[in-house]
Amino acid sequence: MQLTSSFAVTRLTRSLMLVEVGLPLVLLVLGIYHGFLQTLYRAGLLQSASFAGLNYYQGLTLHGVINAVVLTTFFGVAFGNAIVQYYLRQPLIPWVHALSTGLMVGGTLTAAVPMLLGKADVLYTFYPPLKAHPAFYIGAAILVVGSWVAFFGWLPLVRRWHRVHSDASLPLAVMGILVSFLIWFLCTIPLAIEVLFMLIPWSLGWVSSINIPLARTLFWFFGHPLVYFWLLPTYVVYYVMLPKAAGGKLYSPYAARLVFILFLVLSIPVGLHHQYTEPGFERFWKGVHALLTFAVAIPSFITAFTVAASLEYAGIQRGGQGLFGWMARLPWFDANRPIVAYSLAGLLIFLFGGLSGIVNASYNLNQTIHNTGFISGHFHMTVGGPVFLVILGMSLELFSQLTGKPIRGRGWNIAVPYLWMLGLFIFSPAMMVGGLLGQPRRTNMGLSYLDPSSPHFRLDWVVTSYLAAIGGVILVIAFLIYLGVWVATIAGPAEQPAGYLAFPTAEGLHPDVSTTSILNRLGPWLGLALLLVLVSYWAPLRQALRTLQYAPPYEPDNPAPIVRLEK
Amino acid sequence: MERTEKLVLLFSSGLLGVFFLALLAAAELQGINVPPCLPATVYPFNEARHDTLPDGRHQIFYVARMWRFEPEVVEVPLNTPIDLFLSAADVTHGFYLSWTNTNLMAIPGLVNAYTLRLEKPGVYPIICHEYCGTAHHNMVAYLVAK
Repeated sequence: MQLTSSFAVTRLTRSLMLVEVGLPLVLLVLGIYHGFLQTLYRAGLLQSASFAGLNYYQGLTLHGVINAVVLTTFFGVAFGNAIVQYYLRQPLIPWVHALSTGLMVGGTLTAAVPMLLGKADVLYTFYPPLKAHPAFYIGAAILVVGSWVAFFGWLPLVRRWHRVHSDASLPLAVMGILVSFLIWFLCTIPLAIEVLFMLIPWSLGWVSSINIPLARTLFWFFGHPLVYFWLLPTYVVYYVMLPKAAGGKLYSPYAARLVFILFLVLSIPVGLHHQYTEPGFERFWKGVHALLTFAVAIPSFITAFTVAASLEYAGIQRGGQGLFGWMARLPWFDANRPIVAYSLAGLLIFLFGGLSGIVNASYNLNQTIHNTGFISGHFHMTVGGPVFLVILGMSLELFSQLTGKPIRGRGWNIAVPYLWMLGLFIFSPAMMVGGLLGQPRRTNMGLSYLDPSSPHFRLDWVVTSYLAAIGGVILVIAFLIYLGVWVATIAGPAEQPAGYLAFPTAEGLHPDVSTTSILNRLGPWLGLALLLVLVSYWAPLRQALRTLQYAPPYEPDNPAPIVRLEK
Repeated sequence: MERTEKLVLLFSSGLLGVFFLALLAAAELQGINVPPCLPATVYPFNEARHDTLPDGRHQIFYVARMWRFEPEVVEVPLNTPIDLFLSAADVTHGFYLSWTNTNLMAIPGLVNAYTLRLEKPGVYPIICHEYCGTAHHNMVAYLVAK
């Protein structure tokens, strides 16, 4: 599909989208700050329970919730709003847009209050029976509902587009966004069940105890598909925008559509791979989820090939020769194409993020690394790597288009992704080697294992935790530069008319899927996805439901339960 | 789809298939496995215990609670099968026996189990690797193999 003209958004949409882009970035300052502080605590450079009024585990909760949930959800919605409007050439439905943004902002602020007051130190996985203030769960639920509203608001636009273009395939970018939100909608249903029917009544004291294995199973039913909701907007950028911005074409639109369909089918029935080390489930079902997790790696393998082939084509167009010459010709450092720099750095990181993910999925191999620093090292190279960099680069781009203000400090801007990559290439291997040496994740190690005066001091963990802190310093410098670019951009004058969306859009090099192909229909694949979910989760849920002993709520700072169960 | 793409798809799927078979072989032939399924109908114990069975096999019943493991220090002989059982008295905890593949979750309502054998003498720290509240980082026990 050829698009040359930009799309003008309404004034209301423009304001709402600026909130969707801006609010999570303001919160991100706190999220990144505490990410950095954690590397200091963990290295024993900070030996205290809290620093500047913020407790380690409170800050860890903020780090996880802001960076992995608030930022990614807001960006998914903002980017989806932009993609749907631009490629379907239709304005959003105003009241739906206002409602969705209002719910998301309201939910986020509702959950932020107990987190900031230290009444929800339960981390972003909020595993019961540790209990948070009810406002934490309620706020999170409202945030999710707001994102559902945004998604439902796109569907009438898609239908109208199909009526007008009855003989055309949905634009690839829109297909990617729809698949991403279909996965999100499906996987947030078990989350909603856990939060609405278990955690909220229990945290309010209406029920005295809940089924913990069931709550964990429902959480991971949601928790792993969540990562594909993080990832798919990034894939939209890689498939649709990057090849064009790098000066080439998308190698195979067919492969791109196949990849999105495979994610739709395989993203959800994989959550048990977070529960390999738990009792209560038959090994057979853990094995089934392991196999399906391996299967969901296949679309990422295809992506690695197709995106690399698209970039090779771009490099050759730009005069690259020989087997590797194309790489040198890519516009790695072109300050006028920041999305290329943000994408290429992310792709390099994701090579290692993806491969380490296969280690985590590997059933019995997971015994070595479960809940160690290896896991944190891994996901900082996925959600903290390619996903985060695309969010940073694209947020700035969206802001620039919505306000008409060109990005200032453009040279600094393209330094951000490479500096971030450098920081991660120190931080993540350090965390992973530390994990192989047995370092736990989510632990204030400065108060015990990294304190030479503690009986639990571990000399063998010193080197890796110091290296992780050095990585943390570089990461925080990259983020500060990014903030500087924002400040300069906001302070600068508008030079173009505000509110015009325009995205580079790659043509296909090889043919697209035929418009009548089943790969162009989401319905049948959605059915298959539901079937796989049913098959893979029927037995584990039944096994969890058999739990005899339920758990009362606990405050994180008190070993006595809040509610005493009658024996 | 392009021919090269089909080849890549085939190759990467095949590679994952080989990996998966290797995992199954390790599980079935070498006995390196995830914890067995003790169904949720096994009622959790709340007293720690260390037994030596008549055939020399050791059984340790660990209770994880905020913020310690019971028993805190256990001595076991080398090259002897040790059955570990693990239950959580309050919230969710982790149980990672350093330098081994013994890596378990202690889940309220369930009993976890794992069988291991230590071949090198030494003091093996047991680390809680799941956040369990304010003093999580102090939750350590020791298994002494000699």
